[in-house]
Formats: sequence, structure tokens, C-alpha cells
Amino acid sequence: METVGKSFVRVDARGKVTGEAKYSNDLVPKDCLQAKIVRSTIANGRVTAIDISEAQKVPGVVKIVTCFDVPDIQFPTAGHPWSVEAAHQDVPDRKLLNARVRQWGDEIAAVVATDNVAAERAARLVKVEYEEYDPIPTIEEALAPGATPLHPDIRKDNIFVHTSFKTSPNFDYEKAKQQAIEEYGEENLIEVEGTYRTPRISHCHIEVCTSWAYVDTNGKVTVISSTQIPHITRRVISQALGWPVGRVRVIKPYIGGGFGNKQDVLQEPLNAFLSIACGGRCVCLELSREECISQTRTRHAAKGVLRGLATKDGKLLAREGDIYTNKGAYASHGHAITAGMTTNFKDIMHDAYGCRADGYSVYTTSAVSGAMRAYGVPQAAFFADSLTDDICYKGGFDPLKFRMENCVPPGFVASNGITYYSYSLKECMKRGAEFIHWDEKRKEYANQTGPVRRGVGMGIFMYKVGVYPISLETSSARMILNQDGSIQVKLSATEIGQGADTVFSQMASETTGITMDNVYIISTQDTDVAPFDTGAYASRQSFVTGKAVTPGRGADDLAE
Amino acid sequence: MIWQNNICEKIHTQPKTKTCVRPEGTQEKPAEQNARKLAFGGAYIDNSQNDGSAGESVKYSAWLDGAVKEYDIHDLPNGEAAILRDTGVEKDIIPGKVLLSMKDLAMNAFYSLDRSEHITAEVTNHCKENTFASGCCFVDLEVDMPLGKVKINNIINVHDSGTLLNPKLAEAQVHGGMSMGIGYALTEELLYNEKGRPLNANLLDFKIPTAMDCPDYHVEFLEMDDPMGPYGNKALGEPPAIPVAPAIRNAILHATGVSMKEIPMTQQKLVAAFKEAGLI
Amino acid sequence: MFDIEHYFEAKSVEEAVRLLSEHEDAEIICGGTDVLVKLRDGKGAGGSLVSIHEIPSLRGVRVLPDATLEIGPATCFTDLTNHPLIQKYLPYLGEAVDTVGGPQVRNQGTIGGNICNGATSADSAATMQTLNAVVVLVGPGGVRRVPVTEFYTGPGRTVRQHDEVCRAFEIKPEDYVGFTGCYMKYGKRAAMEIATLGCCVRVRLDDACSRIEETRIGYGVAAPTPIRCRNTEAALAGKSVEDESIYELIGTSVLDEVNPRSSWRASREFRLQLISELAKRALKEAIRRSLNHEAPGAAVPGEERR
Repeated sequence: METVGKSFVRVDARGKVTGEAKYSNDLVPKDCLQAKIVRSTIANGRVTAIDISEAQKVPGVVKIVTCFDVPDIQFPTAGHPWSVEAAHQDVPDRKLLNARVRQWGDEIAAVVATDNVAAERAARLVKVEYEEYDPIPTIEEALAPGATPLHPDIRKDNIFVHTSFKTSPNFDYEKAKQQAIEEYGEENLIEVEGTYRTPRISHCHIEVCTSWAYVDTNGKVTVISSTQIPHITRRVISQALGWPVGRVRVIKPYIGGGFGNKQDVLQEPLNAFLSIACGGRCVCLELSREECISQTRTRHAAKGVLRGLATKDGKLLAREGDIYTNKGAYASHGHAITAGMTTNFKDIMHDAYGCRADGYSVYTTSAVSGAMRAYGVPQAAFFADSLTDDICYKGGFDPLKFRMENCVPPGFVASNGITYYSYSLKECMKRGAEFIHWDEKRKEYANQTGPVRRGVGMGIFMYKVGVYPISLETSSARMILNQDGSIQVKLSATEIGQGADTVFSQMASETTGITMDNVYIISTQDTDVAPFDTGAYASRQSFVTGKAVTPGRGADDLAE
Repeated sequence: MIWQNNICEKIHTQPKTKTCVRPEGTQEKPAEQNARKLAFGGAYIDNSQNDGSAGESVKYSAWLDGAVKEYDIHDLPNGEAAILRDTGVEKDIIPGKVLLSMKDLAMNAFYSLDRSEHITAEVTNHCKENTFASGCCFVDLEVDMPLGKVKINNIINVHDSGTLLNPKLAEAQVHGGMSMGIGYALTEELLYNEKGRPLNANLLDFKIPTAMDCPDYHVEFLEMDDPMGPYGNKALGEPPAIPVAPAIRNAILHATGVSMKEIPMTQQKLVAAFKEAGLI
Repeated sequence: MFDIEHYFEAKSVEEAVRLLSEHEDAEIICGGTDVLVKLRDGKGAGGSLVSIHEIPSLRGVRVLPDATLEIGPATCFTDLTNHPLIQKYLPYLGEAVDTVGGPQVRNQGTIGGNICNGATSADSAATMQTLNAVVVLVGPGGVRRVPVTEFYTGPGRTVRQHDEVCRAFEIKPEDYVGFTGCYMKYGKRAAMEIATLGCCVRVRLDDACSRIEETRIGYGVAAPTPIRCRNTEAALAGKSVEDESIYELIGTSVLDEVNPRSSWRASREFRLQLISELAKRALKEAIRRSLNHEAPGAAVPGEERR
């Protein structure tokens, strides 16, 4: 291959290194108004009254909207392609501004002013009265008997969704254990149980979440946003406002990272609403770093109550896990991450008798959890690999050997039909072990004394590409030949810093034969002109969009 | 490889070069697949007549803009190639014969008075395939137990994400994911008080690793062409962040015998665990 | 945009004092690395700033005729670390301030702000405590000198009045000549960090380098204000450098002189563990530097040469 497989310099390198590249906030017009969100100071309760009279007197204030002024429409925010089946649609559980407060910092009002200082001064003067309920920020508190259901219109308690996965329908851990005792004898078995936990964390993408919006002379609301999902954002804005999709336009310039936080629709619908409320004037809504960390999305904190059984010879017999994730105040990506987490925990190892993994997504009065790099699998890997090593420690097994013998095997087919075609997990382990000098170090570090101790450890994973077959995978690409024999490549797949623009250019060049310097990829996605794609997530773009660009498809069409 | 590069230099074209680690028993793509792709411009070497044995005079076809020529090429003992002569044979229409430059084609297509047709292509891919990428992380670390400090001495991620599209970019993706994994293992957590108010929602108190906290990241790729990917590629954007935290946790288990049940394994938690285990 | 009502650029210390007296809501700003962070959080929003950034007499390091070292409060951390006088006589102070944040912060932040903000976690604080530095304050009533060991009244609070400007820090020769030292900053990460604990131990050995004549021990974040551990200092006087029990001694004794609290950032038990362990390591390093006639200074705990 000529271009694919080569380390071309990123097509956006120069602009980004010199600072010339334009991000959302670099494009804001001079007369743009600035907005600031007013947030709740309680975690659970209801706004009973908002007094904006003092705030309105601040010089420079243009408009203040409250949770009582927004359309009574609940909408979903997840960066998922829409489903035409009602049962699979993302749960619509929030409005543009919320009177029912379910997290500290929930969005209850917004101030629009001529500059950010005026907006901040006014925001501090907005007076709010609450009816306060007990906060239930932890999984345990939210599941305790008598805990207030946070979304009674959707769920009767705080279990958002509970799914149960088993390697076979009749598998039961206790029965498997009995079987093992009969087959091997109790003294020849190793069992480990424990509760393992992972934290809630933030993506900390370098560019904050920010957008600006205006209504053009033809009545179309345009939102320029740092988003991973321009087309989905457009659809959600239309749902949130009750506007037809054709009257909404979203533009994504360069963005400074997302890692999944921007794979949700965040402040864009509110931004659009504020512009409309100000007669179509340009309004910028930039979230501060602190707001990004605590009031956008986070990685799900998870708790795994796990058990595992093995023989004294190092054969993994059975495991089970009850995994709880802290969903926070709203659904966002729904149960998808928990489901993926539980399935992955089950699938990464091969249990001779079987494995059961139950997943519970739990609503709590805390920050909303959503998509973050690897979508539930970092938690799954922590659970699976920690349990594995604890079994090895108890049984005296070498963790590398144990994994070689008990990990997911070649030819694995998942319950939804996805097949592990090109399998090299064991080869990967072998290479890693060689590099780290595993065998030597396991011996060398065996009997240490003193305050400083050394150790070697390992972790493994498997990860599917994109979201098929759980969800729709679709992407379009368009190429246009210029008068000088160069081509424009338009995708709606988004460059979020991962290098998508560069590899798509390479693919286009590879298939058409047109050299890289004659391939122009349009980095800005504008829903008015870019073809449809669901966005940058699930490590899907080079896989899914790549197929639109490559042999047998677009580039070949162009070649013919 | 020298030999092939040499020919290419002499007739001014880009050789196909790629090195990668292949698991035993896997095959390189056949040359035909590549030949088919280069329909316009550039050049390609049709070495389908070449059985690879050095020392023979072999016929190669190559073309530059506007000309299709055949060359006799002879191996030299020092590994170089010598172009003996242009055989004078001009090939008929062969796959890849240049009829028109891209620029002329485009100009015609745009501006022709009787056949203006803008050349575009638009395709939707409705993907109904999926597969798994995999990999692992190995780490060698030391723990200063009285202070609860972890120092990573060596760390590697090994990834199977199919054929790499851009090795430098791929490596960069892995570095980023490894750094996220280290933070996840050792320092990152969002804390709340009992009323659900965030305590550390800022860049000072939410501890992501800085450049000074990062060891040298080592990365290896196993490239098995995957039949599902457009170029044999699979997922890579997210996987690097997955195996690192478990590897660190398990290395601490090996080093100290302490089974940490929670991440992040902050210094305070480690010190408390070591005290409980009687290690300090 | 920052919410600042008025910004005054003082050309002299007297003018700064006058402006502060006239504007009750005004705060001093120099490097701005603390003030602007607070402003961004809304503290002091709508207030005014009196800048002392452009007063040349507040910068630099000088030796006075009686060998007192005079440090200008407007000297940024980078300039301090690189200053030949600091490198020669107080290298451990230069290395302590070199642990602040990152390069950009160190190019702006000043030692004056570091001390006058009154933060117990300030990286220069523990070392300045051991140096018995004197804070020279200028106010409407004239000049007064306050030892840094009497400067703090509580977390973030000092005896400096609203309209007083710190003009200099003075360090006497009996507090620095003959000493080697080591500042250890313990943090959760290696940069962009405020200390979880800061410990400075300095020693002056006898001429034969066999006995400890004097020890100075200072801590940041071991109490609401930076402190000295004078009882422990006294207990170490006269001990032999070969006597291994001095480490157990310092590690245990300091625990009676500190008062750390539990917070969500760190528990009291954890802080006590660090206080004890860092004292041992800092003492060991300070002695080692003396014996090796090395440039004394700071070290990252755990990475000092074994």
C-alpha cells in the first residue's frame, strides 16, 4: 500500500501547533452576547420560586430565562443514532432547564448579557427558593428501601435498567460450585470473593465545552459547537425545541478533544433556546472548566461484587458478578455502558462451567455519567483482571500462564453474533511478557524485604469496534474532483484530535491513487452540507467511515 | 528491499514499503490487489513475472505520465539493480495505462460544451460487521511503602488493532490512553461531600498526571489484517486506556502482597493498606 | 474577562501604601498567580487591585554590609532559583521555590506573595521558618520588622495590615552560614501541585563534621500555619552523625509538635505518617550533603540518593 500504513504528518499539524487553527471560541463574532447558567445549590429537590428582579438590574443584562420559561418537552441527550423502535430509543428524562433538581449544580436558569462579567454578576443575584429533599448521591443510598425514585414518570425505583447475562441459560454459580466440589473435591478448589470499586472521573479534554448560536434571516437556528456528534446534536436540538430538523444547523470546527464527553448533547439545545429568546441574536455559552468537570458527563463509578472459582491446577471454572454503576441524575447514554461492562467482564475469560454477570444502572443525585473512552470496558477490565490475579495469588498460579490457559479463546463468537476473526490476544501477551522480562522478574521479586518493593503485573482486554449490532452503524462520504485533478473529501466523521482527518486522507489517496498533497479533507462538519454520520465514538470511524471511503465504494466510484 | 528501492529510484516511483510484525502463518496481501488500486497517475511496478530470484534479468513495466514502457532489469551482486535498457516495447492498454492526466480529465468534465458532468462520488456505508480488537499491558513498578508512592519503571501496551493506517498516529493514540490509564489507577477520582456537592471539580484538585508523572511509554503493535476493516484495520481509539490500571494494580499485588480492591490506589489508601498488612 | 473595578500601577512603595489606604476594597497584586485564581472564583469580584509589579526596588537579592541577605518580595521564583547569591548561600531555598507549580507559574509567582498570602502550604514557607527570616513591612505609620515565625495568625491570615506592603525579607548570617539543608515537597503528583506536606531540615555540623551543632526543622501543612519544631531541634543538638538512632528520634519527636487536620484532601493519620517519614529522610539528606560538601538543597522524597 502506498499511503495507508505510512506515518504521514497530521494534515492539521501546522495549524494546531502554531495556534492558527480555529476552534469554536475563535470564531465568535465581536457583538456576541455571553450567557451564564444558574445552577442549583442543592442535590435533590424542587425549585419553588425564582426571583430575577435584582439580577435584571445589572447593567448589560439582556435576558434571563428560568426553568419555568422553557418548553415542557423532555428529551434524551445521548450520542446514539436514533432508533425507529420505541423500545430501543434513548430515554428522554430532562428539559432545557429543570425545576425538579436532581444533582448539585443542576441547570435551573440562564442569564444572557453583553459580556461575561455582567452575566456572572447577574447570575450571582438570581434568588432561588427550594423545596429540599434528602440527597441520595451513592448507589447504596439510592437503592435503600424507601429511597425517593428520582424519575417516577419513567421508573418506579432508582434502578434505571437491570440486565442479566449468562454464558448459558441454565448456569448458576452455586450449582456450578457444587458440581465442582463433586468433580474435584473441595480441597482442590480455590475460591475468591470481593467487592471491587472504580471511581467517577472526568475526561479533562483540553478544550472546554462551548458553543455559540444565532438564528439566521431565514429562521434557521445555527449552533457552532465543540461536539463529537454534529448530526446527532442537530436532531436533539430539534427534539428539545420542538423544531423541525431542517430548521436546525450545527457546525463543528476544530475541537480540542472530547473523549466521549462531547458524545452527548450538552449545552447546545439551551444555547439555541437562548438565542431564540433574544430574538435570534448571537449568544455564546461557554462552560467553565469546573462546570465541565462536574456538570457535563463523567465516567461511571462502578461497584462489582465478584466471585471466582478455580481448580488447584489453575483451571478457571466459574465466575459471577453483580455490577452496579452510578448513573447520576439523568440517563444520558442509558444502560449501554453498564451492559457493555457486564458482557465484557463475562467474555474476556473463559469459564469452564460458565459465568453470570448482572448489571444495574442506578439513578442517584449526583453528576451524570455518560460515555468516556472505552465505554465501560476499563471498569470491566479492572474487575476481571483483579479477580483473576486475586485467584492466582491465592492459588499460587502465575498470572500470565493462568491467562494464557483461561482467557477468551480464538474463534470466539459473542452472543450477539460478533466474531473474533483476527485473534492475537495470546501473541500480544507473549510479546508483552518478553518485553518486561516477566519470568525473570517474577522470580527476582519473589522474596523482598525493606521499604521499597518491586513488582510486575499485567492486564488484558478485548474491545469491539463500533456499535453494530446493538445500534445503527452508518456513515457517508462524498468526494469531488477539482479542476486541477485534486479531490475534496467531505465526511461527517469528526476529527476530535485523534487524527481522523489524516487517516481518511490516506485512505482516499490509497484508493484513488491521487497523492496526499492533492487530497483536501474538509475538517469542519456543517450539517447543512456534510453527509450524515453518527460521530466520533466507539473507535468506529476508521472502521465504518473508512469503508465508505475505500475500495469497492466511494473512491472506486470516483476512479471509474 | 534495497533492490526494489533501487529500481524505483531509477524510474522515479514510490516503492511499496512496510514493515510489521506478523504472527506466524499469516500472509501478505497479493500484489494484484495493489495493482488494481492505482488507476490514475503515479506509477506502479508490475512484477508479476518476477519470481524473486536474484541474478536474473527480469522484465518490469513502469510508466510515468504519458508513457508506458517496459524495462529489462538485472540484479547486481551488491544487491543493487541496473536498468539495462528500455526494451522499446510499448505496452497496449494494460490495467493502469494513463490515457489522460487527472487535471485534463477534470477540466474537460467541468467545462466541456457538450458533455459537462462534474465528477463526484457519494456513498453511504451501512456497516453490518463488527469484530474485536485486543491487547494487553505489562508494567514493572516499585512502591515506596512508607510514603505510598508508586514509580513505574517500565510499561508497555501491546495492541492488535489490525493493519495500522498511520503508525505514528497510532502510537500517539496509545500514549494518550496509557497516560489516562495511569491516572485512573493512581490519582483520579471525583469527590463529593455527603450532600452531593463536588469537592474537587477543578484542575488542581482533580489529579490528572502531568508530563513529570509519566514514564516512557512503550508500544508494540501486532498487525493481523482483519477481514472486516476497510484496510484490515480495527479499533484503536479507545483500547489503550483499558488494560493499564489493572496491570498497575496487579503489579502492586505482586510487589507487596496487598490486594487493592479500589482504584484509584492513592498514596493515602496505599499507606493505610500497608499499615494494615503490617508492612510499615 | 476578570471582574476588576480599578487597577492601579504603583510606581513606588509609598504610592502603593497610599493607594491601599485610600481604597478599602483594594488588594495587592504582583505576579497574580494567587489573586487572579481567587478572582476567577468570584472572591473579591468587583474590587480593585494595586499592582506593585513595576517597582524595581522590590526585586532582586542583595547582601547587606553585615552579611544579612535581603530578598526582594517581587522576585519571581525562577529568578530566585537562578540568582547567584541564592545558589551560593541559600540553595535549598532556591530549590524549594523551584518545586512550585510549573515553569509558567514560577516565572510569575513571587516569594512575597508566597509568604504574605499566609498559606501553610506555600513552598517557601517551611524553609523561611527555619531561616528565621524577618518580614519588613511598610505602612502609613512607617516601617516595622516581624519575624516570619510570628507572622502568621491562622490559615491564610497574617499580621500584615491591609495598607502595609512587604518591602523585603531579611536573613541574618547566624541563620544561614554553615548550614546545609533539604526541602522535601510531598504531593500527589510531580508538578502543578500544592504540597500535601512540606518539610525542611537544615543542619550545621561541627568543624570535624562529626556532630550536629544545630538543627532547624520547619513544616508546611503540618498545622494551620507553617511551624518550627524547636523541641526536636534541641533534642538533636550534639548528636553524632553516625548515630542511627537520630532518625527514629526525629521521626517520633516531631509528632508531638505538629497539629495536622483531617480533610477530604488527606487524613490526619496519613499526614502524620508523612511528617514522620519526611523528617527522617530530610535529616538524612541534609547530613549527607554536609558530609559530601555538596550543594545543599531540596529533594523529591523517595528519589534522594540512597
